[in-house]
Amino acid sequence: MSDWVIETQRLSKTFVSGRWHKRRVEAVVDVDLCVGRGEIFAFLGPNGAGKTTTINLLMGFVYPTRGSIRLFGLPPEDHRVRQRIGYLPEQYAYYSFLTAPQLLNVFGQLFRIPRATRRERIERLLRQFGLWEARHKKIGTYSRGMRQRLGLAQALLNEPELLILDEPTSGFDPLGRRRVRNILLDLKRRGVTIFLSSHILSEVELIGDRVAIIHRGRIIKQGALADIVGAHSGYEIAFIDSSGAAISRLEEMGVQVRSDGEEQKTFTVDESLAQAIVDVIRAHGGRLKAFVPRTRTLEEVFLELVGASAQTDLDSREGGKP
Amino acid sequence: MTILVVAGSAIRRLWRSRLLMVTGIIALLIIGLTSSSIVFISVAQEAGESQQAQQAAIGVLFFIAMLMGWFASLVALLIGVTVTWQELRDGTIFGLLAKPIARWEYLAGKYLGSLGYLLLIWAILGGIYGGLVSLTGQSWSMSHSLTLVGRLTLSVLVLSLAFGLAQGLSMGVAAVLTLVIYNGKFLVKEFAQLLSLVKVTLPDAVTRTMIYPFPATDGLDALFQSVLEVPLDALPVGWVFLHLVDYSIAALLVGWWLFRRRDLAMTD
Repeated sequence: MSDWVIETQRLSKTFVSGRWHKRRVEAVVDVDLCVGRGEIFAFLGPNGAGKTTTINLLMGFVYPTRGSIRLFGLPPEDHRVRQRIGYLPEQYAYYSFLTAPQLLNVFGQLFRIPRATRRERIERLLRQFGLWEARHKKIGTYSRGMRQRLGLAQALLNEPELLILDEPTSGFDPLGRRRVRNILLDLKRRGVTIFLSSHILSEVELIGDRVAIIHRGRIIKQGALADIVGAHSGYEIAFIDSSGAAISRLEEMGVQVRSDGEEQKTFTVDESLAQAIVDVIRAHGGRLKAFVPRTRTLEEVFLELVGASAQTDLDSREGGKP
Repeated sequence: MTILVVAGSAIRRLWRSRLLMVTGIIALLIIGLTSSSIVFISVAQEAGESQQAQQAAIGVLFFIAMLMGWFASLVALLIGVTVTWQELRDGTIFGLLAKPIARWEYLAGKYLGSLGYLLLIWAILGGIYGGLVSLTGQSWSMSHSLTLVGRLTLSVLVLSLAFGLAQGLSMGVAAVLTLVIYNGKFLVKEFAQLLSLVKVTLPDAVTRTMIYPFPATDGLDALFQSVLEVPLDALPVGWVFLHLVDYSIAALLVGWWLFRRRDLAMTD
């Protein structure tokens, strides 16, 4: 049996909309994911990239057009697997007429948690997420941040082995985000696997072990966070080339040069190429202004990858035109 | 157990919906409308016209029961087509289905919750009916019970049909189809009438077969006849209850079949 907590193979989902004029939307295409036990797996992508559809597929809310999903080795249709999962949707909707303890009690009953344990756990979670004081208030009166905290509390109610979180920190202020981050790191220490989608890449960078970037329904990058960021770290070279000879030579070499005021700048991850660029600048009368080793942020890598993918899409579409 | 938890949440949600408020207002209207008749009957009784007053009282009660039946069926139709649709619209369905419950359990819970809510409405309507019976000076009899049970049965049939069909069809289509099936017997009879205009007569067996899938309103007629102390015909009454069982089972099966592989969310 596979040791992956989440395993998808060629997972695809095509939605068909329109009553008369059928329109097909390929929301997810051939997604292969493997999430190991105890890791924090960040699922990133721009809006409409297919993140929420993938999560909906994992939770069994929608069915794949093709491909397969295994959670703890079982298909998501098998409802018993959800006994081991905690889930926080992006836009959590609650029964607004209930209080937080009432809602958690209903969910606790669905998890078949014994009454005494349920009561103890509900109190602990409400205190942990700062909702104990508001326990007599109807959920309908809660602020966005309180609702998000309640969402996290209900996701942890069954002490899950796998947490699936869609934008878990979106409703929080910086202090709240740090609190959530610490909770997630604590859960990871206890061996909980966390699959999260987020727009806040600086947060992901602080806690993620592995990352998958999805764009237009396809995975464009997947791997260990350190490897992905490391592979895109390199050297930034700034220079002044009044004759333009150095720039011409660099462009012949396939090096992309951008103007920044009077200066020209280029970036490369390859150390020997960086050295060669410096040699070319000097040989053609250019003046070297800076040679800076630079570690890139996840956000920069993300923007670069998504931008490159979008450009490839554009090129292939234009290339395909008659 | 999980089914009952879902049913409980469905009842609580319906309890807070505006349906109950509308139910109360219409029930009050019914009381208001009929109270004037009851007062008129009481005056007639005092004037010594007890035989006529008795007949008038029966007529008024017949009318009230009919109104209650229509109203309860309308509420049943609304609950049936909206109960899961509202959960999908609000997104609360995901909170429940993310827990270890099967889709059929969710559906059965919602159905039971809707049924419980409808019975709650009937408890109120039954109370009103009972009060009016005592106001007209009549004693409660088996016929009164059967009158209410017959109407209640029909509203449960409507609920079952609407609920089952709404799991895979749009609300409007489910509602229209429910009404067609609800009134199907009448439509078949009208169809046979039309054919007779062009000198085509359907054999009895064919008409009976066409009528069979539709709720046996004849049974309800028989129940009302019993209020009027016409001897009760057991067969059509039995048909109503038979349909109660078969339609409810069929509705849940159809609902489950449509719901089990349904995509509950669209694109990102």
